[in-house]
Amino acid sequence: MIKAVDIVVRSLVTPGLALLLWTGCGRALPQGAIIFTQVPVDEFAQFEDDPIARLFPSRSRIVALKPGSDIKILTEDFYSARAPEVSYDGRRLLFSGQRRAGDPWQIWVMKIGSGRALQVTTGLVDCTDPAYLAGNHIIYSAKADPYQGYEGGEDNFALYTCNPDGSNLQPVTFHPAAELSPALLHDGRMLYTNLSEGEAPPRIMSGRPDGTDVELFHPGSQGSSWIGRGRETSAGEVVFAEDTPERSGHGRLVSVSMAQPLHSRIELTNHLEGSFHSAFPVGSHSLLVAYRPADNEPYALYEFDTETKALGKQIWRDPAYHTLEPVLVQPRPVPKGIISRVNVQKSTGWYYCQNARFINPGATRIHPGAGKAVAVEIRTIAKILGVVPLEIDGSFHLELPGDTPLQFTTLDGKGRIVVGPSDWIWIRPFEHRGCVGCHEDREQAPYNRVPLAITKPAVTLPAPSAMANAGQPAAAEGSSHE
Amino acid sequence: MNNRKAIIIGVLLAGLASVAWVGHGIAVEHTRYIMGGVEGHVATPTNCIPCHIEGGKNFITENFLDRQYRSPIDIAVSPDGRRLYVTAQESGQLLIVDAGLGRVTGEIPLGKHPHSVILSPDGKTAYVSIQWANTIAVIDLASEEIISELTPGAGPAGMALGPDGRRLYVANNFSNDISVIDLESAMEIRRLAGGQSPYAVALSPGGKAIYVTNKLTNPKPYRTPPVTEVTVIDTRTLRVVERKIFNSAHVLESVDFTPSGDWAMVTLIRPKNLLPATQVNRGWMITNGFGIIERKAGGRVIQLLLDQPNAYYADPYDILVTPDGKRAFVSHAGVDKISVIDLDSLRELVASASDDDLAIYANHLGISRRYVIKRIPTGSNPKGLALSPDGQRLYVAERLADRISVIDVARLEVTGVIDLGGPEKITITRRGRRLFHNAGFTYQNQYSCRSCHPDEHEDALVYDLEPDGLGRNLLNNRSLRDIGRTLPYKWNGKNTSLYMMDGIRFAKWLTRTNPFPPRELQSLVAFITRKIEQPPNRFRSANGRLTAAQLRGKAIFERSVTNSGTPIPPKSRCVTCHPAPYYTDARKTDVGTLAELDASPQFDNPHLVNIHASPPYLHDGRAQTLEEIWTRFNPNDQHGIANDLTKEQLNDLIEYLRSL
Repeated sequence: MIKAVDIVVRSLVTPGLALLLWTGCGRALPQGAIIFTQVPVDEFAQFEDDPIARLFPSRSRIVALKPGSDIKILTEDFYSARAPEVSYDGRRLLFSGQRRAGDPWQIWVMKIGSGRALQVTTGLVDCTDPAYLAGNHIIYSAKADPYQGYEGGEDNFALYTCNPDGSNLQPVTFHPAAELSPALLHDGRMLYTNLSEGEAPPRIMSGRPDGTDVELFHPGSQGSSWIGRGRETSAGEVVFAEDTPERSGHGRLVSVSMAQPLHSRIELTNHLEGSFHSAFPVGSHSLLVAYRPADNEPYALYEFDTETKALGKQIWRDPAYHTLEPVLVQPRPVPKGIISRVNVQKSTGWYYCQNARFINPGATRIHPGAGKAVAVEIRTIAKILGVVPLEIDGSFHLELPGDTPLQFTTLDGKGRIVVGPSDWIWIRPFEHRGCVGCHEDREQAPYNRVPLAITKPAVTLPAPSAMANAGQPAAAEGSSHE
Repeated sequence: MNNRKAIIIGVLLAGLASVAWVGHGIAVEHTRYIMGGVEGHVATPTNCIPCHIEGGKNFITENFLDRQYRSPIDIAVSPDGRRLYVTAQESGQLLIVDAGLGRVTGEIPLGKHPHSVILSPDGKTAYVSIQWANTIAVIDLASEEIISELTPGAGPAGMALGPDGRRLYVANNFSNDISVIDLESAMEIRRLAGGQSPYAVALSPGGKAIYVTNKLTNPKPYRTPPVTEVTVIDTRTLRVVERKIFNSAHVLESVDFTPSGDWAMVTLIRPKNLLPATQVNRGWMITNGFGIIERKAGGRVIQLLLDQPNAYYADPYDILVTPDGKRAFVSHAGVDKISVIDLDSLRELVASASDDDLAIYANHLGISRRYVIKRIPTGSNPKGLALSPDGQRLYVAERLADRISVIDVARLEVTGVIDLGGPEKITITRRGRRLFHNAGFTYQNQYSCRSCHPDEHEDALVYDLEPDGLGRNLLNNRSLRDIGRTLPYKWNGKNTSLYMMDGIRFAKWLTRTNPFPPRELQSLVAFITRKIEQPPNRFRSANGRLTAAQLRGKAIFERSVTNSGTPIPPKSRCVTCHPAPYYTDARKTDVGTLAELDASPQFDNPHLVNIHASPPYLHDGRAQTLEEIWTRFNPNDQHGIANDLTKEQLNDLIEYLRSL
């Protein structure tokens, strides 16, 4: 009965409140309006070469440009705001912003045209680059919590998801790097940029929005220091802006095919002088782009055709501001929803490898000794979890701590490194994941045969007996699942 | 008076409101129970119509709501290119289509489940296999009348005429053999052993060989990949001369030759059933492709994929090579697309590939970019393909759209559509059939329900699907025939309804996308419950009487004492757990088949209707034959007391089981 009363009260009160909130003031923008970020020209110059600092500019603002009209500032109440993203129904705007100078950047949402923003996140760390998932859930990037034994650097950012009201907050990536600019593909996967420390160029990664099945989507260019938000067109391409290796801060537009993103890179703007900062698809082959023809010019808003690779007409230019991050106010198809199997009540996940010695013919030159591996070492940032012998067929089967950055290294009979360590990976709690091998081509599907390792219980790492001796390599033991 | 009326009306309204309130509560509870108690994914509880009217077997549905669809599956083109002959599977007809006018000009009623149609070289006679009638209709195309019937084996599917046009080769899909019929005498002159579930037949250029594809794997050791054959017959000796094996592949549903005859090309599916179903992406559940048989001494059997890393092309069905040998077309029934293969590029790739390379390519999702030049969208469920005699037009049977689409071969674009006159209204079961056969609800379109349940039956494979660990609780795939009447579901009997079976857990562990919305789920369940029928049982006589051996087997099935006269407790009698009419008591039993990594010894007592068509057996498929259930896996008589049976008695029991 209480539940029934609750439902009645909610059903009457909630829409009323929502109506009040969403229709509070102002008029919705018409479909076809363009929303973008404006960053003061002098401010932009200070962080142009710093891919992290450029996420948090001072005195930037989000504005709307109605067709045939002047711009309207949407974030009057904010000290600084950027990264606008429109909901799939074209009615709400997500963005990151700070109310006052010195506040942490947070994620906000407003009904477009209402002028009233509601705060989604309430943390003390900077949050940025929000995007909508299917079901109006939200994904964004924020300064990461420390991983086990690793406080992280200044530039350590992870992706988080939450409900539209900010509840049910969950980290979904656990890479000791900067995970930025999430976006959603039509098939329901997330796409984001990974900026690792060191010389490695930025990469585009993809995965399910719960942080499972994460893999390389596109490697980026050697020497590049930044890749902007990738966006999928209705023609099945993903377009993004990327720094040119020759001159940091000078971007070009790149497209890759959704079907084969590793082998379909097309550089769209190499024939053009100037720099591209960001792009938004408005048709199967049309983009809105932020572009400047020369260094001493501000970025302005242009049209661009990906088929002819031609820059179109200029739509908006403000000499005092760089015009960046355009988005169009219009309904878009909602991507496919993807159900999650992650169970955060659990603490471990399962990982198996078909054959750690497997090597694609094309990779034999890079890893000539891969066939000598007899064991695999697994470590976190802080410690070695254990060394597990490979089965005769090269397989292994592990139960591993969830949400923890892990590296794999194959070892020979004398304990020497054969190949590794691998890139950092993680397993979400209750995730079950497999890989073909440690050196497989990223387009390689698995072989249909039973790996010996899965005919036995998984080896648990760290081994229960070793948990008390933190920091020491663990003796591996078999475990059974629940 | 007015007050009195008002009070009466008020009381009545209050009464109605109370009934509605209580009824709504009951409906909610009922729906929740049917759906398996999953909140947030229940059907609208106040909408009873989809399940109880549209989806039910009742007078209203069958007489007012159902429609008779055509469901075209195969096409033959007349030698002059002016007529198309189309088998309509659901309406049981051969449709005659004027290709110029683009409309149906004739309908010849045939019988249940017509399958393939081929024409005599002069174009005067059509041969149509009628799969559920076990006959071939011989049709005079001038009079548009059936002039005779031929009798092959059970479940005739694909056919081809021999080199001189005097012999007809028929793939007997149900009896696992191939008939050779002499057309002059109308007699079957040879019955050759096929693989499992023979399906498509083609004559090689030059006429020396007939190739027959098979859908299901040959018998194989437990927990090993499927091994599916293409049976090669010498047209001179009428003998099987070779069995070309496709390792790790099955559902070979079509075969065609290059004009020179140096290649035979087949469609196929490469399942990953031996791997735990940990993920879908990167082809970890199913990959879709084609095969090449190099027809020369030492020729290789090659497999290549049609999928791409982030885009899958489920259920490749028909393959057709153009007369100039430049291109091949493949219909993808699960994603409504035609793949166009450039054969020059493919030849270049194959010529430069070593055996090791080919082993890699068979599982490489990126390789298709070397030879697939276009994907042409079609209507729902494209199946049979046919080319006009000049090779300029490709006809596609859009089975669940009741249309033929016309593709310009030079431009590789759809230039026209021929409506076959099916009903415009899409019923709930038709929508369910479309969902069943479409991969759109699966992550990246990798597979449809049909991918693992070809012919709405099963694929004879064992899967590692369970969520509670890797390599645990292996599951023998089960047929969907009659499943609507044999709840509960799953081998552990945990699912109490098809709504629950195909609901949120199905999404979580199989399709990996969001669950079917209520309307789609209702449609799917309505289709599975109402429209998946059992084909005729080839082991049962036409008059329904049992043979002497079957009668003896029935007595053993129902016996209450052993050969030595010892009473058999009711729980150890076959008939107790497998009572008619579906031969299941809908309960779970421990029959002593618990495997080391199984969670529980209790397994659902499966129904036994047409059980002969569902090898392997037992919950994890460890028994390859019905006999093995008792000869190998019942040492302690837990699966019925049977160790006292003589070999002859066991044979009789098996004969009876096959007749169910």
